[in-house]
Amino acid sequence: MSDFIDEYRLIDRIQDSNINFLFGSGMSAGYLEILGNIEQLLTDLNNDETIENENQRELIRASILNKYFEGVIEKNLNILDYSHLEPEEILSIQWTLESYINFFKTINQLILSRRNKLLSKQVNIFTTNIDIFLERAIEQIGLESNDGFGKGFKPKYDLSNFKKSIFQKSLHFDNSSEIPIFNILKIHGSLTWKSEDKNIYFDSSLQGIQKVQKVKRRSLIDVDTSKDNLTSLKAKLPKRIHESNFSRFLEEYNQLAIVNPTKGKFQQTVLDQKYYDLLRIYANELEKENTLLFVMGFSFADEHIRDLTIRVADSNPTLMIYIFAFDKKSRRRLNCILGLYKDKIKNNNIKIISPNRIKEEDKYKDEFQYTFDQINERVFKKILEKISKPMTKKIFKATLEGFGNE
Amino acid sequence: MNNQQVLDDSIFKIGEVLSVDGRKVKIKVDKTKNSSHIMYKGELLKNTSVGSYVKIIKGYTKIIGKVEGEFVEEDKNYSPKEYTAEANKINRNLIVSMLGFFDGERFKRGIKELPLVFNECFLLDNQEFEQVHDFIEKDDEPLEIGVLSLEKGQKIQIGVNSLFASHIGIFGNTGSGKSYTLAKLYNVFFDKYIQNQKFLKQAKFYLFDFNGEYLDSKKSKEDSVIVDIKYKNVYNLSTRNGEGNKFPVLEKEIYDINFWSIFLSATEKTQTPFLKRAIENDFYANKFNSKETIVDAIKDLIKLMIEKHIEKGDILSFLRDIEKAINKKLSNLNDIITYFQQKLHWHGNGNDNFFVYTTSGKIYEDKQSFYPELFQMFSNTQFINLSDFEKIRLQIIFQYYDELVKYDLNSEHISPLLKRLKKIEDIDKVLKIDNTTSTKNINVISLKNVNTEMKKILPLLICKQIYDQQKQLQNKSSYLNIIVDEAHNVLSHNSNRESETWKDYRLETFEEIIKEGRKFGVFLTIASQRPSDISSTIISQLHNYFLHRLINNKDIEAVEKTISYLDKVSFEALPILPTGSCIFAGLAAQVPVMVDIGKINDGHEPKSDTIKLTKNWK
Repeated sequence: MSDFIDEYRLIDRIQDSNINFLFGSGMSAGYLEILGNIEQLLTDLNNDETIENENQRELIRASILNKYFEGVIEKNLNILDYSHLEPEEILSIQWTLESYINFFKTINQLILSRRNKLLSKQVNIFTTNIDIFLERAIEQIGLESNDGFGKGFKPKYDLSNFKKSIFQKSLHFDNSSEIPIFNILKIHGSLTWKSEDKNIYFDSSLQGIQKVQKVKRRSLIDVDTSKDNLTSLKAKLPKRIHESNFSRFLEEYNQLAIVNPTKGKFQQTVLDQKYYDLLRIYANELEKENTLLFVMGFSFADEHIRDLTIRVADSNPTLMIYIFAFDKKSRRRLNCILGLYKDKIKNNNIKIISPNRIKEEDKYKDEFQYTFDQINERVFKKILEKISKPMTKKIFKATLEGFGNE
Repeated sequence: MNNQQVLDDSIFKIGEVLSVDGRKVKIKVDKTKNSSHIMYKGELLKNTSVGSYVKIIKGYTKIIGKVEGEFVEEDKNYSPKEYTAEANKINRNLIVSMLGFFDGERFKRGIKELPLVFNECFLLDNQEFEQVHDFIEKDDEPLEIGVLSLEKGQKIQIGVNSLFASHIGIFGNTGSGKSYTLAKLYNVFFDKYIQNQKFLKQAKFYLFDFNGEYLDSKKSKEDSVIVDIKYKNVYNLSTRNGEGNKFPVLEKEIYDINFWSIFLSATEKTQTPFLKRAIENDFYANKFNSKETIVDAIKDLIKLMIEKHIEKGDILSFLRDIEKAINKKLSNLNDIITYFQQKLHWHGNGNDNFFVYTTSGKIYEDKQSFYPELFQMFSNTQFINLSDFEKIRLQIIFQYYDELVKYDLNSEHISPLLKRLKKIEDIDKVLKIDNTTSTKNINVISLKNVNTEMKKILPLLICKQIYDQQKQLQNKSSYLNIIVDEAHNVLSHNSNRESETWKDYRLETFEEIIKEGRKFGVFLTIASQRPSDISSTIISQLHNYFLHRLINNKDIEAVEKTISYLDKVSFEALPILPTGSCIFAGLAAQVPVMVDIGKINDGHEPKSDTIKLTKNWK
């Protein structure tokens, strides 16, 4: 694993393939909390037969969802407007946003530098995240993106929007050229979605969150996602439960157009349909010839996506999937969960990229961890440097020297 | 399994044969196959482009072709409606020349069958690609020399037998990486075998280095260029002041008439027979070993000259010639000459007698007192042992005066030869006669500090000697490899500086090595920046070529005319090869390949870097 960019010849691969990304919660972990075992807790709760009192079940559910709401959902309002926050929190938002911005800038440059009119300039970013960092970052640097919404006063979500591409004409010669465009496909829904009359519309001010925020939540159980399991939560249950304390919260929460991190159960039919449509697009994109998929910050805990990915990898030998593992531990977990140990991947086209191990005081440690920042720095920026830096640097220096300021 | 085959085919198929025109085949490429790489099962395959290979399937025959060109045609059936893809507008066509075919698992050069129109064409998968570039015969051992330029990561290995039991030519402009390639080849070669006792015993290497690139002049004790100093003899020859090493030659080689007649540019009719007499005559040669005998020889010859009434001038020039030849090896020769000049005189009108002026009077008439008086100076003479080449020079001088006295030699014909004897001094500085054989089998001979004339002579002399020795051996297992860097110095066929006979002799010697050497286990590796300067006989007899960047049109032409292994793509690439890349073609390769020569192990690189001006001037 010396320099895997060369080892796997990433430059050559990127230059000739359709490029796709799959983002997981690890991408926004700089600001938003990662899921922990929320998903497991919710699934366990649904399957648990021992809870007789429906109120108890609902209370636990509300408590867990509340945890999710507070850790992930609510904070999205801050991303829109962080002027009122503490400096520390502002920094953490800005840093996370910066990672996204760096990412888009680099990929945009990589796509532009290909200069190949036979290849599509669309980059697909599939994400299970519901947060608004992606959209926010693209908006800030003024790149073109496609989030599925049309134009107008009330933008409506439509999958056909994803295949639109944009051409730009040059000012002087009227030469037109396709510009890179990022398709943002939010598989698990988005906080910018609001469902109305069997359609999904754009919610630019995140009203859904605000509604949930306003609802009073009382006497909820304190959930610690790193320690608690269902039994320990059950033990925390109070003796008397007032349904009114959390019923409104659940009601409003369920209005959010997001697929809750549960396994398999969906309430809204519209969302249901969109979910399957998006998965279909995911599969279709990966079925194309010469396709690259980079999986980042994603643990493959979601069975649907995992099975689908493996199935496509098996059927398309011209697909190549690189999965970034946060550290060595998560590499082992990914290996296990994807069954890479058992040679289940028949086309040999799924590779896990993990940090190097170094020896330090008789202990082996990861040299670094593949956070979003590190992926940017160590992979995509390096590729861009190898492609373009030597020349631009020289030209830059020459012009500067010409003006006598170094 | 069935499905897998169909799937593979759909990915690897790139098009169909459009036309077959002799060796040239045109292929129409499928519209979807227009990118430069294709990913397949986690590996990255290069798509077709000029220089890559295609497989054309005709029934059960797999024919391999190399893409020499490509062009596009606009698709005439295509109508620009709204719904289009960029790839649909054009037809991409390839021009492919046939190279060989797959016979079972192995790739073979040459064509038995040509493709038919509409035969399907495929990319080579990695395994097939490796087979095409697998140059190792079954009983051969591989040497890795670098990677394919066009397909990074594909290592190029060459069989030891097929490469090193052949004459190798390395050509390229200065700075194109010739010396590095040469060093790399032998570095990996020695690396593999240097530990074997049999190798040390049975293989001999002589490297002629005209620029001193293959020795570390700063740290000669730790010299590790190509191979560590403990495995090699380094001869840093010098004609400047005799400080350099001397290369050992066998006695019998030194007494070779041909060599001397050519070296001293002797005329065929008179001077060459004279030289032959001089060198074969051991009467005088035997006397040059000790003081007494050499002085006696000088005395005897002077006596003879006096008695035969030879002019005084000749006697003096005899002494002067001796003085020049042995340069103070006889301590008071200078005084003796002065003495002879002042004291020896003619007596009588008819010039029929000498006499000696002395302080006490004049001595003549009576030989009993005349000669002791004349030769009394010699009794004080100190003597330093003569080198072999001084002896040869003396031999020629003695022979000349001897014949002058005895047979009325026509001095006008021979005396020019004597004037050229000075050249022997240079030889004396760089060679010594030594019949013992060295224990090390790798010899590096640096000619950096040797004057131009000796640069031409030494390689010839040494090569001829080691070649003749090897020829005598009649031993099938013994191997001799002569490596000449900057070979145009010795193999040039149009040099105005030298005489025709000399040139012919020089070229004949090397041409013999290249034509007949193989039978005696003698192989030649030559590196040069001027292939056009080298005799075309020699270039065309080479078996394997490493061609670096060549800019000069004449050089490129020379390569084109003489090297039959080159295909068009490789040939066209010659002027644009990057430094360190070369085209390898010849018997050891199934197909000509462009190779990035691998890095030489640290410390073993030749000292041939270009200087960094900006670094030195800061």
